[in-house]
Amino acid sequence: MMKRLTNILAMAVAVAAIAMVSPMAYATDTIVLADGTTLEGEIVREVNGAVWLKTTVGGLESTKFYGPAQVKEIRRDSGDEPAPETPVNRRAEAADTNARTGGTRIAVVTLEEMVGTYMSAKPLLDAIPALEEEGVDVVVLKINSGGGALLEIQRLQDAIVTELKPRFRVVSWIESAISAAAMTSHVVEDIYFMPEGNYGACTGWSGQLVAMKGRGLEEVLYSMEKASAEGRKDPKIMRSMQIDEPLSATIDDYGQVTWFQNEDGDYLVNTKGNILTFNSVDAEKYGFSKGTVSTIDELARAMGYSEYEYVGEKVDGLLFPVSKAEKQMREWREGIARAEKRLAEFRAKYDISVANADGAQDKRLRGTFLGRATRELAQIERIIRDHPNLALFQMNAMPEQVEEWFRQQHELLDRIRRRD
Amino acid sequence: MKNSRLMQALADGLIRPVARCVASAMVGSAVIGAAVGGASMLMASSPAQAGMVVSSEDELILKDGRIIQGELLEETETEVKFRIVVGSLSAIRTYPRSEVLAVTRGTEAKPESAKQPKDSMSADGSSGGPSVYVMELTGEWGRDIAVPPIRDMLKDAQQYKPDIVVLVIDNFYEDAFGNEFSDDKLERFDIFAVEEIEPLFTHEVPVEWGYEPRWVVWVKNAMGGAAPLPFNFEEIYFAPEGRMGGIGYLIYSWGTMGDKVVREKQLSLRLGHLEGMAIRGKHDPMIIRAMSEMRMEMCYSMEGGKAVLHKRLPESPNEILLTDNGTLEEFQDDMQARVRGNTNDALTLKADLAQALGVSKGTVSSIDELLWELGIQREARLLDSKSERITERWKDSLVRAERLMPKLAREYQEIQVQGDYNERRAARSRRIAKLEQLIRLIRQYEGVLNPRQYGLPDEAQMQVWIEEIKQEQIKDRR
Repeated sequence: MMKRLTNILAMAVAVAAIAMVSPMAYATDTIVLADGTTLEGEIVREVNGAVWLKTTVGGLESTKFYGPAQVKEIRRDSGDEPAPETPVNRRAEAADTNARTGGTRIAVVTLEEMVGTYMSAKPLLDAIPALEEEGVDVVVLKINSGGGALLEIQRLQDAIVTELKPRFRVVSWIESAISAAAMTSHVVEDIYFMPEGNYGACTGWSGQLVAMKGRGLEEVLYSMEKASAEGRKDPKIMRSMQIDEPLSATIDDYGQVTWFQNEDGDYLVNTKGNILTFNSVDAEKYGFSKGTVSTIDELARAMGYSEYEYVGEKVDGLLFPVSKAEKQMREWREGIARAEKRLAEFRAKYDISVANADGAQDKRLRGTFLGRATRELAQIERIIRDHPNLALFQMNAMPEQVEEWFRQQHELLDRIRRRD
Repeated sequence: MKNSRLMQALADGLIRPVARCVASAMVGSAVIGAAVGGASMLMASSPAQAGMVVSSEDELILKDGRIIQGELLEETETEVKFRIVVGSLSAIRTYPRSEVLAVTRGTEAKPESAKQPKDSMSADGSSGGPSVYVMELTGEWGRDIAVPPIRDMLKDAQQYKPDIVVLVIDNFYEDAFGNEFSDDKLERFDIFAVEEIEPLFTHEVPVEWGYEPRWVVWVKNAMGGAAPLPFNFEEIYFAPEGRMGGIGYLIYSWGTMGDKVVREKQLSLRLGHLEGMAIRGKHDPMIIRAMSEMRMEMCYSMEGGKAVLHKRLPESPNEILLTDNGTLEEFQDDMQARVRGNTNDALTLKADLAQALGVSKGTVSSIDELLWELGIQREARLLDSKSERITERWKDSLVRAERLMPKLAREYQEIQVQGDYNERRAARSRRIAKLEQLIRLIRQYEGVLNPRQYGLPDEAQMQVWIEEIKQEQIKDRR
């Protein structure tokens, strides 16, 4: 309980710290809205009484439009001269200290398919040098996965929290994040949805739809409480995605959402007995997502960037340029797909070859089958070395157990080889 | 009316497919200034597309802050006519002057080809109104209406670069004797049945075609697996007898297997996917949830000519019940209601109700009527769609494959490995050849034909059999 309180306090301090950052850009213009609200920032454009005001909060720029009817008064930083009717960017006019082509460099990295095999920590960690090489500032984790193995969640979360976040701004962009995929994304503060996006259904289970129970369940719940704190989310949300507890919310006049692990809030988000999966509309309504966007440019603007560059090369058929890191990620998935198929094939062939070698009376024939078995075992070893998680998913064994299995197989082949 | 969906999407800033097209036209790392709005991305197009892209733009600023870029065609005291140009596609829209804050004109000249509006020129070079490709999705969902024939239809359509694609959905919903199921027949349905097909339209077309046509769905029968597909599109029309639903069984998909909380998870993630489809098509996700979640209580009232949905039972006489909690005995539809198709355990949309709820934009009984509803009946050019022929060919080939699969299996079994060495070797070769033929069939009809139906193993096991035969051959002696 104390730990959770500490987390909440830490969040409050962090929020306060952000709020204390002055929303000033490179000039301070002030507009007073018809409802009395005063806003400070940089007026970058004015047309027929409408203004575009750029503000910077916590290092994030955003430009908002205010129509003539909304604007009561304008106070300018630079006297009475209005902003031009065409868009300007004073930052661009200033000396550009950025040695690159300019703007924030964004890379989209896709996390797709089954968590544990295709979507795993290894390729994400392997992508970091490429992201650094390309001078990336922001990593967009575009997620489309129906979930997978529980054991990979912590590895992925660690990769994001301890390796990616210190180096880059990390955001999630959700096409579909179900179960382990949602739990992975939960450590990311800024989550955006695609219109068709969905996020949740995180109940742990195995076999014939048997739910996790007892200590195992409690450990996963606790783990996701920590993940919620890391991602600055109310832990009640994830809890209703994991177990069938109700969730409701109240939204005050300032848009602040208060969550309840019961049905007492103004909005019933999850009925008791159900498991929560957010769609894009509800995720945005309840402030779980920062916005719903269809394109990378909408995403960049939603993230607060007016000057940006998506890193990578164009590939026909893709929504975004492919960076070196993304290329690696795609190659990883292709490699896994090939490896999965080949592993099953080599294992079957290996079993046949060993059985034939073992049963062969003729020494030369035995040698032939032993040769085949040795080659097939080497292929299996190579695949497991490159894709260790396949040991679990295809051979139903932990990596150390697979090592033992390899040792036993080499001994078996030696025994057959030495037989007269 | 032409290209109004695209224009609306542009005006709303919902230009994902266009962005794909633009992204594919970008070379290397394009710097994009976002301050001028999403449409500015068009300027990042490659020289290869330069002939189709306006090099400098006029700008229309709406009072709600949206900035639309393209070509100013006409300005009057009451309206502004504007051409939006996106990649190789342009669309014209007229905005009431009352919505317009300002119009600014670009200065650079436009390439000649960019001045040629696409809507005045058909793909075959003839002038005329919007071109319309009618794609008939007819037959059994997941079998006749499957990925391979739809891909062929889309290829056929692509060659015409149609402005509008009309998807006619009319899936069989009948028993083995051809008797039509009633509305209350709750088919065993899984979301994955539609998730294979839907991306062909929503993901592949914008990418493969380089633009997104205006999709219009005409629902004749979209029951069971077909029911979610129309929701992906904004413009839905119904046939007078049209139906959409039959997926309320979802909640019972897992019976009493395992723990309830895991069954709830399975249901929840599927509902999340279904709702996503509805949101993509700009429909209220509550409607598809009422269709697929038998427990859901929903009613509606008409307010200002529009249906307002309420997630509860009616509380006043002007609220109309759509669905009650059909899992509770006291609410289950009785036989009288079921026989007459007046069920409310799970939502099945019919023409009138679909229109009342705003899902359907109208009820039409023919393509001509549909074109009339779209306001293009006079100038529309119906393209020579081969979709019916493609479907027929696919069905025929499927029937042949269904006959061939057990025949090959039988022939494989009948090959006896006996005789002298050469005869044994030849027999083994024939057995391998039969297995390889079967594997080719399985691959060709993957997801449609299940080898297990014919007592055959999957491809992986057949590969093992082939290996066993090869090793038997190694062991064999003359």
